[in-house]
Amino acid sequence: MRVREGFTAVARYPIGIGLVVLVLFLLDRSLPGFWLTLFLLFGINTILAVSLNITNGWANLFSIGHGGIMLAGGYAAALFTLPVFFKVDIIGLHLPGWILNVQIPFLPALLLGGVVGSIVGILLALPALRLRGIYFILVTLGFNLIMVSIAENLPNYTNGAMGLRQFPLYTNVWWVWGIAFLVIYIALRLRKSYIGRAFIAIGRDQELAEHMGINLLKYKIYAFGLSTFFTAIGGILWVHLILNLFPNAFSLALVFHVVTMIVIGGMGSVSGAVIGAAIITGFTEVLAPIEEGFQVFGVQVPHLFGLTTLLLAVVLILILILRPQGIMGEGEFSLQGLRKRLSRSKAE
Amino acid sequence: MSTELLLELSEVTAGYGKMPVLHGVSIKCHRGEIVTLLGANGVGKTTTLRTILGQLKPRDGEIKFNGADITRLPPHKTAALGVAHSPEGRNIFGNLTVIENLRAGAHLLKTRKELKEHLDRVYSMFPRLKERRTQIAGSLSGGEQQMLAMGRALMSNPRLMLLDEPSLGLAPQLVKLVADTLTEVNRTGTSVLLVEQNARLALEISRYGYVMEKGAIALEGNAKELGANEQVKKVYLGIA
Amino acid sequence: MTYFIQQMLNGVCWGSILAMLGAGYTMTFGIIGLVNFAHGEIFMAGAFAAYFALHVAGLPFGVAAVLGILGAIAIGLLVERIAFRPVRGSGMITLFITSFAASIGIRTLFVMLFTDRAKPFSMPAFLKGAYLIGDLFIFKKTIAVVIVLVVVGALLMYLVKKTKTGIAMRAMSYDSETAQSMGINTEKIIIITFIIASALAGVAAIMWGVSYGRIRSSMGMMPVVDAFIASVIGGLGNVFGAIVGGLILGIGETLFVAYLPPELIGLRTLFVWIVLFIIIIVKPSGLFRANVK
Ligand SMILES: Nc1ncnc2c1ncn2[C@@H]1O[C@H](COP(=O)(O)OP(=O)(O)O)[C@@H](O)[C@H]1O
Ligand SMILES: [Mg+2]
Repeated sequence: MRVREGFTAVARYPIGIGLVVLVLFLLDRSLPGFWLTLFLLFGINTILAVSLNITNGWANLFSIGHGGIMLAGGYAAALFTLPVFFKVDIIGLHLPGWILNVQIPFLPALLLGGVVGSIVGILLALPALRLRGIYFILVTLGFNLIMVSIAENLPNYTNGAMGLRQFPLYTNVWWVWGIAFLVIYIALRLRKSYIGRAFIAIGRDQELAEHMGINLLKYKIYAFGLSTFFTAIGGILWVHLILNLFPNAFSLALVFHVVTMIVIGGMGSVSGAVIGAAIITGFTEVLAPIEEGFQVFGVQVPHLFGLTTLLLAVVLILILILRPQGIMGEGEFSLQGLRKRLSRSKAE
Repeated sequence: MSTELLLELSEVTAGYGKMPVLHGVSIKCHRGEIVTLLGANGVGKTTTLRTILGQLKPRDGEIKFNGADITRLPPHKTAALGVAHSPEGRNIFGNLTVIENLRAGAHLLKTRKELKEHLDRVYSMFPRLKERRTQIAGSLSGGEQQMLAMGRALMSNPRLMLLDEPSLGLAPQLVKLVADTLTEVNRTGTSVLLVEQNARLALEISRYGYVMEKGAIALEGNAKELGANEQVKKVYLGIA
Repeated sequence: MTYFIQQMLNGVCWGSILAMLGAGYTMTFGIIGLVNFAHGEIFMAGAFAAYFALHVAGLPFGVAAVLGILGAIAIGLLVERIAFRPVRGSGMITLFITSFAASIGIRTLFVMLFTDRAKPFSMPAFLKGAYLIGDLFIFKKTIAVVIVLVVVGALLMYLVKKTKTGIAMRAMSYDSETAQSMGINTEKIIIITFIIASALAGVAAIMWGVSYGRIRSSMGMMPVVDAFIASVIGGLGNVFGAIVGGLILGIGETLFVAYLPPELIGLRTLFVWIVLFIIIIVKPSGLFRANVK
């Protein structure tokens, strides 16, 4: 019995990983363009939602400043991945030569942007972590507004509200889902580890957590640093998928979408965040043609920009009224759990 | 003394969350009476008062006030029928001045004339409050806060006053003032349901008493009889 | 020096708008612990109601102003009904998310219906023009805004400090349960608070229209944050403090911009956050008083 368990534990990972790689490979080959993009957006949203859940769902550090983090990471990476001729000749950024005259591959750009996002996140967190509840939320909100405003108003460094384009198409299934699985894996492991439980303890009852000997500041910074690192990476993947970058894309509306994902899925649940990401991605894409207007039997239906956001706002309020714990509550999806529930319902 | 029923709890069961604290409590208070509810810490006296007020919804049983069913009435409607409350720990509004606290207590009064009349009455009972009327209530001493809590409850000229441990933590001469005030209030037509740990004081001024144990009435009787009861003497009056 | 005073005068309008918004904000916060993020959209809706009355229906300015205030109240009550009442008592984060959703939802709806292009908001003739005193321009509209601020502020202070309803509000903000046992109908007080706060947002909207001459669907976004900071400066829950805080912030922000090198003008939004961070560092305790005073 023990031997078998040891065997499965060892064998499970390679087999699992192999299966996932195979599935990804097949999807990458077979999915038509629209569906592939959808699949990639789902992956990116998964990264964003799972990382946001670390602060907002677990540690009860309800941040709506993660858009500003994506912006910081996105620009940091973008300035290095853009083609040199675009930076120098087309928009003429006023940057030091070691930025202007290089173009770097994706991995270093992702790491660089992630680290920048993390540093900016921790710089935001240091003063903000003294605050509780609503004060914390509002400082993160202000941070988001400031980041967008700064990016729009420093045209020499960011090209302002006009934004940047001509990105190399770096983002693909491997990057997106590789990182998405990594984030999910880290989050699930964290949940069982001392660090993750410290986050959750802080989120439940800060005083109690402190009494239990948890160093509040340290773990809050860990939570924020980790969450913002992957959030920034999610932002960079997004930029190199849609191939343009302008400040207002990271406004509160974006954060609102990610918050909706984790509320729908169930705040505090990793699987909930993934489910929420799937639902919101699908929802957004289904509504996209309506937003942009279309023709039915020769009748032009006018565009309705903002319809998605409006409906999401309604859905979010309804969920918080009718099922505030979301789909998963704080629990996780597991095969054993499902099996148990099935056998119980059979027994009844 | 009139025997008209003012307040009647019949078999009331109530509590917080899933756990009931009160198990079938029945209490009666007639018009013009002072009735006392004795009991050790944590047996459910405060819970009883809060249930009468409507801050807790009873799970079972019935509460009648002045002939009307108030079992599920929200607190502000119970108050409008003439029930005032001087809560345990006083709960004065620390951000308001003394006079503003009293005006908050007078919320149900309709006219300025009534307001002035009752303000004068409370000031004459507690001259200290008049001296301190523009002071922020949060900065009053414990005794002054107790006077304010009682004064605030009296501002609405209630038919029934619920008092939760008014003598708690007070110096002896203040306890005396509280007792005298209650007798005076009662003489002018307000009935009183008094929760006390100070059984001696409570039994002295009241006509009838109940002893609560673990959320149920264990003993009841005229105040004099209760005072003479061996068990009450031993447990609540500290007489061996 | 003249430049300094002139800039201060220019900041008075912005300060008055923040004062009115901050006072409303602080009241709802004091009563129910709700930071009503949709307050900015209530403000915006008031501006639109006045705009339609003025420019579409062609009504006189006074009528349009009243309709603007009523419009703000209507949206305020709607927000209370859909985003607040059903989730009352379920924790600050939930309350915040619903008001955040209401804010984004209402703003998006207005953008869909009316786009986010600026719409002209013309002043009545009697507010046009300025007096020239020495080297200083004193605009008539500035005088009007200040008069409205003083009158509305005085009325508000009277209401909060002296009336039965005001005392009930403040009692409730300290201890809702005890207030209820005094016969105070807390449901009613909440509604009244929303009405007053929304009406103040409506007044701010008219001030905005008169001061800047144009309105747009996204106009509520920045002021709501600035007004929050104004009420923090004044001590959250303190109505008079919020009015003073709004004036300080509005005038300070205008001066900040006036002395900023032109190429950095876009950093205007930074100012309020610098102020907030200073408060957090210097006097964090001042941030946590939540009772209406
Ligand atoms: N808010 C509350 N929530 C849960 N339990 C409570 C609460 N208040 C009191 N209790 C419990 O109810 C019981 C009775 O309390 P209480 O009525 O305050 O007693 P007393 O006033 O007689 O001292 C106690 O066991 C107490 O722990
Ligand atoms: Mg008690």
